[in-house]
Amino acid sequence: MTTQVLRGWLPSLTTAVGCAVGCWLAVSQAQQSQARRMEQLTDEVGSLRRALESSSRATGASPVGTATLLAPRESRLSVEDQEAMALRVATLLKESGGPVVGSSEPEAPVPTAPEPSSEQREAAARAGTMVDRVVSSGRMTAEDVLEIRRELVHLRGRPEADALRKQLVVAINQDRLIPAPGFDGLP
Amino acid sequence: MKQLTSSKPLLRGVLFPGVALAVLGLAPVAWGGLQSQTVFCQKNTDGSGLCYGNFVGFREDATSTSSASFREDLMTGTRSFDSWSTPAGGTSPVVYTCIPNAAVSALWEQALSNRGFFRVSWDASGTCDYLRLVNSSQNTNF
Repeated sequence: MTTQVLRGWLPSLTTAVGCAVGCWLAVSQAQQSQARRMEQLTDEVGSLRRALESSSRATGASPVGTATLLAPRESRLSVEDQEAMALRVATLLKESGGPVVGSSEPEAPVPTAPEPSSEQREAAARAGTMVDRVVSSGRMTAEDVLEIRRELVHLRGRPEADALRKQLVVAINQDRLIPAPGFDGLP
Repeated sequence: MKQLTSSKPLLRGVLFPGVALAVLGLAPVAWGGLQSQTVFCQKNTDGSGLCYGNFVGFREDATSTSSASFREDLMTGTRSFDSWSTPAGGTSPVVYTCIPNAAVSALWEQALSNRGFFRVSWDASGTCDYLRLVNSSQNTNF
């Protein structure tokens, strides 16, 4: 009796399990697709924000919601919310030809670094020579990184060090400079 | 009315319920939560670009050189992001790197301890100008 009952149930059970697995796969695919779409929208919003910032730098006014957009908390923004955000920013740009909110406050003066000491000037010169050599050669070894880093320690927080690092970064991103495998970061 | 009786052995009478229970037991295991492994980097000819993904994605990537790092050197005061990944169809890894601007730098402490998803972009001067961090169950494996 029990065997006959189970024989009757087994095909139905197998069908139910198969349908459930199929549904799970479909939902998973839909979720992945939605995640990809949200990334695309984030990219578009980021582009609009950069356009807004560029426009604000040109006119001197404050951009809209920059801080929020730069470092948004993880929010449950739906696809519709992100699209609405992008459309709103685009509309504002179109209406005014530039930023539309924020008072035109004068920008705070950028503090200038104190004059470098003679030791710092010498370290900057040596580091600059090394950076030029490395960029010209197209290769940066681990030893190169250590040597440059030893000089840049003397220039901590100074704009000369930032400028030299940016030289390396730009060369790397333009594929003109290849760091060695095991690259342990910039000097 | 004829009464059906089973003359099957006891073992077979136990086997079918056991198989049914095993099938039922398998179903919940197949229903694990959403897990993502994402690796994506791209850059333009002027050097600007972006990377996004999660750390587990870079770590589990088929290419053994794939990596993504947020760094801070306390001696030099350097903060930087760098990533090695091989573009689709490529054979060699490509390096992507940037140095954060002030606004992005404000999030760097979180970036250094993030274990989930990140998205960072930079301009042609090599300045990271956007950072998004996400910690969610689908982006971690701890």
